[in-house]
Amino acid sequence: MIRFRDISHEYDSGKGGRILEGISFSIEQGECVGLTGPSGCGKSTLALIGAGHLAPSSGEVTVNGERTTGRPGRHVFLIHQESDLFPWLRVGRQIAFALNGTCRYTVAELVSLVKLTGFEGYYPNQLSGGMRKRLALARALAINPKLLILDESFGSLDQELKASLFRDLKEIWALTGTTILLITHDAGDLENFVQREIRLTSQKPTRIQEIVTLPIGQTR
Amino acid sequence: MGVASAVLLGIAFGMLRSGLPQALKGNRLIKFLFEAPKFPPPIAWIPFVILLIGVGEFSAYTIVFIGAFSPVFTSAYEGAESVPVAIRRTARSMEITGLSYLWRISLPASLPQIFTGVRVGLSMGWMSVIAAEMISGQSGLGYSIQLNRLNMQYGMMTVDMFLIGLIGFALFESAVLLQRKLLPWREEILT
Repeated sequence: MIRFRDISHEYDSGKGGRILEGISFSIEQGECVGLTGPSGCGKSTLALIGAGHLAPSSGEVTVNGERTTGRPGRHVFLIHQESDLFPWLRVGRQIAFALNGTCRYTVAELVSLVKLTGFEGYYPNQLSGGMRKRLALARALAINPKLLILDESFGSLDQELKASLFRDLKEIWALTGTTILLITHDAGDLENFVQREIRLTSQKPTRIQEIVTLPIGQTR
Repeated sequence: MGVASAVLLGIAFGMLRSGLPQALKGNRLIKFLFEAPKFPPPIAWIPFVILLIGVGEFSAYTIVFIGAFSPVFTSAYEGAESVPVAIRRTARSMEITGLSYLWRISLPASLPQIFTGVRVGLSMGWMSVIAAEMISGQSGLGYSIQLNRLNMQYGMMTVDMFLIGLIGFALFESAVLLQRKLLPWREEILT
């Protein structure tokens, strides 16, 4: 279980820059949870805190009871909105680079899972935007994190491509059972996908407005 | 040889400087030690090199090294410092840190900038060696310019200048070709 416990954060300490306050929620293993809120409400800050790249002003993140606050590692992996691929590694090497002993898939299986078979020898800049996102996903699966955070990861793509990637992501999730936190400003992205939606408030500092349980196949 | 050692040491020192703890990187004395030696032009080092090493092949290599080192070192350091934050974070999530980070992430990510430094370094090294030959050479194009100047053979001087330009351009282009060969991922081949 991944637990965010009473997370508060301010960027400009003591100058009224508090962005998050009292954020608490947990994600069960194998669950897919959505996190929504208006642009600028602190979703990405929460993603960075979750992945250990940013230590919150107060509160903690635990993975299976182990405190991971401010400590990045393979336990929580974040796919950024901007490209975080290594441009000097071809598709196959990119995935192999991230692969570790705990992942039950081979490079070939991961390539096939994200529908990139035949593109193993391509560099990221030779792939289309959608293919690059698939590659980022395969690499994240190779890391086999306890929690995979997608922070507006498909946000820069057109609507049709985004919908197709979400369909593929859903299939991959069903197949691999990876625990996912899907962050988006557009709740429509979560349609027919997530089991719970955590809605953040629009007023600063941001708090949790409500947590809605959604049967798969239904949204909002 | 002067350029090769400047490239190797320039990259190594650039990467190591980037790997220093933040407190040391921001330290003014450390900054001074890394930055100040860049400012005297390579030509200003020539008398010292001749004084310390004498005239000969090794002093020529040393002068080329002095000319080429600084641009490679600066570009390697700046390349390593400008690795995109998303890539840095991803590497940290993969638990790649310390020397492994410098070798597996910083170095390949910095290669495009390093090659820019190598191109500038080659030019600087080439200019330095010509200057050294003009001041104290016994042979070479720099020496030939001086000799032709003394003999008032201005036509031959122009030929020397042309050859210096031609060789410099060939060196520059060979670095570009090498970059294309070694960094195919920098080519914009969008499908």
